[in-house]
Amino acid sequence: MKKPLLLLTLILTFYVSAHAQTYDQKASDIQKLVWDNPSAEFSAKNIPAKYNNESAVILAKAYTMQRTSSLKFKFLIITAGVANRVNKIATYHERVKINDKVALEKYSTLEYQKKFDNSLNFGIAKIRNIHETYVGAKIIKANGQEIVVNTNEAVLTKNTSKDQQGKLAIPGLQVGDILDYYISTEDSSENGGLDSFKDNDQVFVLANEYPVLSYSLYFQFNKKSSVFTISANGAPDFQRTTNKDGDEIYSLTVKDLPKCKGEMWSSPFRQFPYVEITNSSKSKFYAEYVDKGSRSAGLDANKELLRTHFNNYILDNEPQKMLKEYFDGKKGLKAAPLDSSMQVFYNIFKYRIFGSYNKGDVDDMSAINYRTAQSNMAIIDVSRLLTEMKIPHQILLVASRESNSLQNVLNFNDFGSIIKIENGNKPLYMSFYDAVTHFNEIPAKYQGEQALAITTIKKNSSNYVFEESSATIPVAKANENLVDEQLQVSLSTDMQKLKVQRLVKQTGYIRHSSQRALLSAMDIDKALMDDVKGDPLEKRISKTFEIKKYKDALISGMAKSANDTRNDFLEEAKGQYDQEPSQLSDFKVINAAINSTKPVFEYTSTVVLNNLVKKAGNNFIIDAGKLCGSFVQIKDDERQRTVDVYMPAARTFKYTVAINIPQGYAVKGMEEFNKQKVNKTGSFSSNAVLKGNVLTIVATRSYTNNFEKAADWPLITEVADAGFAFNNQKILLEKL
Amino acid sequence: MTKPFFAFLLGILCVKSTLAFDTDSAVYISSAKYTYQFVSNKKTSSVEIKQKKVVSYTANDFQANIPVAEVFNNHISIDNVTYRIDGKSPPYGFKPTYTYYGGDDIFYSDSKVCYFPLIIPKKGDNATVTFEETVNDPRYFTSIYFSDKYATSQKQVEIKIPRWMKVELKEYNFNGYNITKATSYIAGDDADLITYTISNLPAVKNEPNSPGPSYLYPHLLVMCKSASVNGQNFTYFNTLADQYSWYKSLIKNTVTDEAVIAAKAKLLTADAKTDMDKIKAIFYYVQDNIRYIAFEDGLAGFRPEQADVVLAKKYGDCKGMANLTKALLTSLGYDAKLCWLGTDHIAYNYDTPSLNVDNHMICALNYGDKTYFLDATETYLGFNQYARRIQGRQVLIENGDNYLLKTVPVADISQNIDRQTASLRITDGLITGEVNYLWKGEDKEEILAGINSVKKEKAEDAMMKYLSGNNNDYTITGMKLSGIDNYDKDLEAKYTVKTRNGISSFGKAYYLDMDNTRELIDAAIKTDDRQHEYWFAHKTSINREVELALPAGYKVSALPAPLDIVNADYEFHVKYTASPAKVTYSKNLLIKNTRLAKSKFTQWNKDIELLAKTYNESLIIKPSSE
Repeated sequence: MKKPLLLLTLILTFYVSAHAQTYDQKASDIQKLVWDNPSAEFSAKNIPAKYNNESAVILAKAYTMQRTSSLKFKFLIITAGVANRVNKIATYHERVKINDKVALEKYSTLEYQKKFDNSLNFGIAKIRNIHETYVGAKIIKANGQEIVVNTNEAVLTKNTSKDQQGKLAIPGLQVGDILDYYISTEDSSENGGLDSFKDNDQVFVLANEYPVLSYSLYFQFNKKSSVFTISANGAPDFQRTTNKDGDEIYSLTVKDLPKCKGEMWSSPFRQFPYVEITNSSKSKFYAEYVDKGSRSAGLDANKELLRTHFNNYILDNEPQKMLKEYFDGKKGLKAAPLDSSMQVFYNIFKYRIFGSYNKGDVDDMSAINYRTAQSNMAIIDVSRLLTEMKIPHQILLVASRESNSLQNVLNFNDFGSIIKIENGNKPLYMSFYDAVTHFNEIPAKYQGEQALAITTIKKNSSNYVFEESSATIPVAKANENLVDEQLQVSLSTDMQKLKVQRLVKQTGYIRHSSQRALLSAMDIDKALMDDVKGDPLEKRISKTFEIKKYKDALISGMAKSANDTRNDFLEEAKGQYDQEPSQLSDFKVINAAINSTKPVFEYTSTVVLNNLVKKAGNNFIIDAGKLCGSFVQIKDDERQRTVDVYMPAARTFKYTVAINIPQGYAVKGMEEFNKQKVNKTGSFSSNAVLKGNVLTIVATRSYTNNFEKAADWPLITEVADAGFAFNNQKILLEKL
Repeated sequence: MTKPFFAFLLGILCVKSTLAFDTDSAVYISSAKYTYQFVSNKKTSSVEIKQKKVVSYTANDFQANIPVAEVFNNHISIDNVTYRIDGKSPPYGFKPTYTYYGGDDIFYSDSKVCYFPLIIPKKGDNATVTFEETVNDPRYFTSIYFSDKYATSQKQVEIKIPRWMKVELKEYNFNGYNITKATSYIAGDDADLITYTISNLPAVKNEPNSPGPSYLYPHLLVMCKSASVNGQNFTYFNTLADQYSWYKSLIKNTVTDEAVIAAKAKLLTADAKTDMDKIKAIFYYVQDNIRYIAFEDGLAGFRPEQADVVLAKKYGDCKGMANLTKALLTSLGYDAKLCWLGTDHIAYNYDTPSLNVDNHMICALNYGDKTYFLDATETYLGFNQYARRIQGRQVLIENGDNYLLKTVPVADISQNIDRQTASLRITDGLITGEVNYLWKGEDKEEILAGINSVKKEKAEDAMMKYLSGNNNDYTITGMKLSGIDNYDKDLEAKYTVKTRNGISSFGKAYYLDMDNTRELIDAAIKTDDRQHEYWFAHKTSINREVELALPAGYKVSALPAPLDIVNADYEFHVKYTASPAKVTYSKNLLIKNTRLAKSKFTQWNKDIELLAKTYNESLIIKPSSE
């Protein structure tokens, strides 16, 4: 593997010395460097027999990046400074065997940003920010013939002096060919504001859509660079060396990566090996004076950044004032039980976060219900005011189980924060996630995670000390994330359709998506306001300079039209029954459940469904199992599993289906509904009882935990299979 | 006073019901004025068309935000764009974006778009947008559409035609719209002014399976014939011969290296024994090996790429593929020609010479006493089979200095077959048995396109999912597909099935559903919503012949009723036949006419309901003793 790395170094060195060249000269020289002396991996022509049936096989792929920088004296209009020009040169090189028409289609076109000049002009000075791309492609036919693609055939879909976008149709490419191509980019920037760890963050998942025989990563950074790397989920560490110029080199090669397979209930950033690497200038200028977060990488640095924010933010006492007013003064507040006062305190913060709007909300009002809070910033004032009120609490730093682990935090947004308030053996939690999150509700994505617990100690108003310990975030039980649906079912007079009156009650994590979809932004805003005796929306808007001129638009757009409400309920019903109801009526939200005092989200609707009744002679068969919606089916190729199971949450679904049996018919097949399957991962039970002319079927499906080991997958499939069998169960109405 | 008030109220109701504005739309067009004027450009010695489009939008809601866009190309330039909101200038720095305009089917074209977001802050406020444009060649001034993306209250279209310009305006789809026409003569300019006034024009509505816009919306087909100005004479498309002559000038020298073409043709036909084998070998090679990539760049949008270049690049658009097909065939001595046609997306034919008449090129082969049309862009359709989109369409065929006009044959319904035959039994409470499928024509093309759009290693799974008819408990084993790589043959599938989906048992009786595919069950058309007639993808003949062996000691207790619906457009036939040892289920669904008129929607929905009712009837078998 020495050879490819040496070659890559040559490419990088070439770039540095090639500034004076024209685009075509550079392109030609890069082509020679990439192809003239290929490594064994990039000379390979054969794929292992085990991959013969794959759509495509990556024989080799490599990514190289070099960061250089030079100090350049810059005159600005009113001052003079030293501009740090950073050049980043990256080459992606891939050699792929095309085995079918799908791969042919995918690889037959190359689109790229040929040039983008985003430089800024300040009179006589210019802040350079230029991106250029060079591409090359050659085809290796089955007989070994190599055909170099003429990249001059690329068309420009945008062609201005500052912005050129290229598009190349690869000529002559056929199934059975090998395509060897590269995309080489050069970025040159003097804008230090775009050179943070976050800006330069790159993630490489060591798993691919196609099998990969060889995958190399190579990064070269000059002495003026800071570098931070992560190797996660079993990914190998970068090899770190130093060359004769003192540049630091990070490299990695992996062989024979199988293609990745998407699995139900998985968490890719917890399960697929990946490496993450970022870099920035060691210059302290931006870190000290422009953006303190720009040079923070890793959990420790970001924890320190949080402490810095903690110390520097000006405390806003308004929430504390509102809390006192809510309880009619200090005395009332003191008399209130802690859980009551903290619930109001939480609601005040939620109202202040989600009852505020900006121009972006005006531009896309359909997204208002989907806004989420930046919890790391939201908890700062909460914690500081709790400290002022002498309420013992901790800040829990936790990473989402849908993303990187806490150990693999790189940026400030790679983790979230929750407030935990001491309250005997029943601690109270405040999580700032979405507008419908309740006091004491922890978002499902954090449940069960290991957290870093921080106790803040105030030395003075701008000096807080963090004391650390560890904690585990509690997990909601299956019955706390509940769907409880009651259905009244009757046959149409022609016995062809079913009329279903639904009453749906949802609690816990399960209710969030329904609330966001079925409630209007105005419903949510009003509930947030009422919870804390807050200002009316109109008044809040008028106080906000940015949006006060859009007041009418915002107020009008936040309310849902009757048509929108109908469409949202129709979509909900379509999702439940895998068919569009032929009729929808009597739909409404009964309880919006914005806060924890009435925590059950409740709505109703009536639908008419086709194709669930079959005539059989004088009898009728009802697809009764399907009235509970579509249950999960475990397919044959999903029965073997080696990766652990990340459920969205522990949860329970309960359906009570009351079917009115028409006069003159007897019910048969009820006994098939009396089933039960219980194991440590979950349970499924169903039963059917006929009372008078009403057949009541009760089905309950439950997943006990939000996480299971892969070894217990067969137990999960047992429960899922029992549910799926119920889903296909029918009853017979036999003519008497 | 009662009467006038009532009349006033009636007036309001009439306007409302006629306008039928979509209240969900952010804006409507309160007024619009389009003006077109033919002018002589002395500098370029050419005739140009100056067009100005002034559109006033009124907001239906607060903060109405709509994209305003105007497409232009090498022949249409945008000279000026302005807008005003309630009479005020746009914010400082207003600058429309000019960029490439790409589409899913076109790799690259000279089409560009000028766009900007138009935000009207207050409900009821107006914004007026003006585009001033120049068309630099009358050949490219082909139509004027009256409808817009938004409902239009009032619109005026003025066309000023100097008497030195010969142009014909043909009106399409005016029926049912409130359009008036006035003509006047402007003596000072020696020009005629034609003014169309349109009121209460509904918005354009895109619906799947619809005819193209030239069938639907009121518009003028503009046929620029000739001009005589400043001592110069210009002939555009005065006749079809003129159009053909222009096309012909673009297809000169369509092969650079004939030797390469000849060698390839020889290689491809080396094993072919008959002429027909050779012709098919050529056609299937182009179909299978040349990827469809469309370039529409100025004249290149009309000029076919060199055949040897297409062969080398292994991609091309319809013109390039037709040209390569022709070149390979002619190198072998066959009489192959290039031809132009408009697919059924276009309402016109060559009676109206215009660049709007056609949108496709194919190759015509004269062999024996027959003309075969070879369209290699239909990747999986066999030789002498025609896609719906070109069936019955007029074809302009090159023929030296002259041209020929022919018509692509209209295929019989038997071209397309989707047939299932099955032999089933009941085993351990499940339906088991052997199933055979056969697909022909456009049905075969659809299946093959589907298979080839899925990764190789997943193609079998995808096929099995398709064959299960979306049943969730339908297990296929031993599937064998034939005809996948040979477009000259029918596509066939054979497999063994085991399913519990179509069977229920209550007591000792079995309730059976012998149709696992139930085509058209959800095909009812929402008549309250659908505006356009419905076009099926192609003629269809779906046949099912399923035999179920009765278990020993069982008899048929109830047979579902048969269904027979026959009309000029479609037929539905479903029948169960019982004999002592077996039950046979047969179904024939025929779509004979691919165009279902709106007037027939009600009947169609009734028939679909009957079909669904038939599907929702089960066969009952019981022990003979019961």
